[in-house]
Amino acid sequence: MKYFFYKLAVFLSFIYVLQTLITYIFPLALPEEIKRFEGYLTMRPSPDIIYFGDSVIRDHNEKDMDKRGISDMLKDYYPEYTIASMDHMAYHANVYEEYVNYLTRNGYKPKFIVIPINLRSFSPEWDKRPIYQFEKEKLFLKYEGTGVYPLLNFLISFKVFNLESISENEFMNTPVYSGSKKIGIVKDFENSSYEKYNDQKMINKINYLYMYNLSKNHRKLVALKHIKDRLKRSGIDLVLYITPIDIETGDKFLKGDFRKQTTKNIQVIKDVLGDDVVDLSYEIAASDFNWKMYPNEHLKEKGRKRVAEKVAERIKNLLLSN
Amino acid sequence: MLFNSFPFLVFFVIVSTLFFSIPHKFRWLLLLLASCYFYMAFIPVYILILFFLIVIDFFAAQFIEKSKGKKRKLFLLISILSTVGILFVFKYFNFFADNLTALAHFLDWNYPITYLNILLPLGLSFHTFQSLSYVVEVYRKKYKAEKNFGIYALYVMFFPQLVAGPIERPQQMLPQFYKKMHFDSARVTDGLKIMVLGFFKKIVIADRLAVTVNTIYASPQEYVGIPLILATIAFAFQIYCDFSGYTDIAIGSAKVLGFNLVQNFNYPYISQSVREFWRRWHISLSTWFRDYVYIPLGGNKVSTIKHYRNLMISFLLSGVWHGASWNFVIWGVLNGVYIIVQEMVSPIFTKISSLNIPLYKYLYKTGSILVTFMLICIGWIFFRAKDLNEALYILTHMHIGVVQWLKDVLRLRFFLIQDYTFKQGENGLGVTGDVLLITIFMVGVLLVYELLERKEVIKKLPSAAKWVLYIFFVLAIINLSVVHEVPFIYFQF
Repeated sequence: MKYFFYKLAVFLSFIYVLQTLITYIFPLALPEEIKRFEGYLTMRPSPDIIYFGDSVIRDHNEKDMDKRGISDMLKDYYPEYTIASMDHMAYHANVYEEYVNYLTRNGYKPKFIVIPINLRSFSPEWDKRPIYQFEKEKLFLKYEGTGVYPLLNFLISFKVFNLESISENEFMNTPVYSGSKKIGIVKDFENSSYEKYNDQKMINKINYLYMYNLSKNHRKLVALKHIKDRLKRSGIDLVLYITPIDIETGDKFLKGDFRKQTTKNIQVIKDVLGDDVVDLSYEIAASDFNWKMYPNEHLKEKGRKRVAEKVAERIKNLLLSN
Repeated sequence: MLFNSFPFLVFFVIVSTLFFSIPHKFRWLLLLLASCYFYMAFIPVYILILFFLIVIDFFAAQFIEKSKGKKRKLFLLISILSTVGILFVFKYFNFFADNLTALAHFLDWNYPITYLNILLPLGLSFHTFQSLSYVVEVYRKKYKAEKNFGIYALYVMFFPQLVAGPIERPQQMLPQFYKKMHFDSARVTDGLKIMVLGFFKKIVIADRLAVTVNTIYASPQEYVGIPLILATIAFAFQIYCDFSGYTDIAIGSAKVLGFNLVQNFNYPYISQSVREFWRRWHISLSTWFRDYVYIPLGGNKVSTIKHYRNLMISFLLSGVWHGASWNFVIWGVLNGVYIIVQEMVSPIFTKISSLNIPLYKYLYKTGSILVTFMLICIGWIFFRAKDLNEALYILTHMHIGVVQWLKDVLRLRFFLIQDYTFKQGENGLGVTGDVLLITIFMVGVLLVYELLERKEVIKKLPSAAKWVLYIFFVLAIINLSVVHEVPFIYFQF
């Protein structure tokens, strides 16, 4: 029996060594975003600012004269800096955390990292949506360069790591709250037809997207805290800002309740992350948003320029304080 | 839990370790509890259905053994009706209701239909047949009723073969649970090798072919000609590797523990006739239908017409066993027709063979294998297609452009072939050319392996060569696993 286990151990060791060699010669097929990220990090000179974000960074109106994204507009204020933009539709704090862990673990030291805090990302619509989890990207970022990496695809296919951390059923049954009052489950809001607009549908949508009660232990808030702590230890300056929301439209449909709840949630964010979070939540007028049927955070040219200006201001304050 | 999952690997290591560590008299209990856990990993409450079946059949067998005359038949009937009844409710009720609705509409009847909204318990078709064979063998006095309820429950629930066979007979399986198994390095190594081969077939070949098959069969109307042929041949290998891969893992894991399960596949695609195919494919099911349907009806010991009738009934039921849809019925009937036609024409070929024409034997063998494979593939179209319309579409559009394709192959115009093969449909073949080539290469590796295995070359390889071979298989599994879940095809039965 001992000889059997000895042979098995030798066999498995052979497998691991050969697999490591194979992975070195034929690297695993990385998700495109990670390839792009690695490309940025290995640029010479390396980027001074890494700007993470979601679709808000790049979305624009057809009538905009200047169609650039926010990160590109930031270059107008710091032309001497190289800015790398890591934005993707529906990206969020749990993804940013893995990116930040990756770059600090590998010794990269940009001067600044910019991360938007999208209030909608805390809602069940975004936080629990299965296709917004980006498990594959997170796994590759977490394990690249570690001993697990050569076996990553195999471990995923054998369910050691689950690419579907949230099932469609779990998502659909997630409760939806307006403040502390439960108003239904995701299924009630997702299955509604939003093609034909009416006021009640608008109210339902705003409730679904913004009226949650944010807890200090929300996983995205915890992720942002981890990001802040890690970057502080690594000596990298962090610019956190709260993405603007359409307060005018919210006030119009939900009256005072919208402002009351969002203000409460914003305060929770500041309590956890500190007052140095740049609060742009009510900064932009309704006319500068670029949403069509229902409110989101996409901005027209003027809105994006305003955000770039505010981020630039924060960077300037950090440079002065250093 | 799926075989190709880490939880199963952990489960298996723990169960195997405990199995060889505890005294022999408790091992059956360990295996039974482990099998319960294995089954409950799917839908826990369904174990009650399994338990119900076990209780009915265990006591039915006891009563059959103790009774005489008509009472024996009565208990047999109770067992068969309850087992088949459960199968009917979970598997066939909605199909039956659908067809009754269609008939009612045709006849203009106002017939209120109730549909059952229940999932088919995993492996129901397999373990119902396994329990039925036990009760029938007791009735036929070919096996004594098992006195130990726990051992009988283990016979039905033994986890390696619980959800997709092989379908075991009591004579083969039950005595093994009383044998004291020792840890034998050579046997355990063999078991692990069989499991590795099973994982290779399932993960490297079946799951990869599934991508192309699923893409094309999802909307076959977007394709004509070569892609349809490719998808059909791909499915032939997908289902073989998927099912035989599963069986290998089952046989291998049982072997590690010291148990021998029946062979379920015997290189089916080298069959020279459809009849031979059914002696090599899903052997435990085809022998079940042979012993419990075909032979009791009279087999071939009756008139020619009745013989054909018996064949047709057996294959019709086999089709129905596979699924509650007209596609499966047609597939079953088609196989029955194949065999009947073969019976009719074989005297002609026997006569030709007796003329001793040069090369005839070789040409006949090659031709038979190719024709049999083609006929089986035609059957697989019905098996895989969503419905009859799609199956007929595929059959009637496969030939389009084939002549041009052959011309382009002969003229080495591969860039043209690439164009009209990969660029049809919204998603092409679902994979890139290089991925498809790798998969075809792996199919080639498997075919060579099986050829060498049949000729007993693998057994005689030096140790170093065997190491290289199995390292290759494991590395292929690690590097070519598809990163999304592709369920075992036969789990749906």
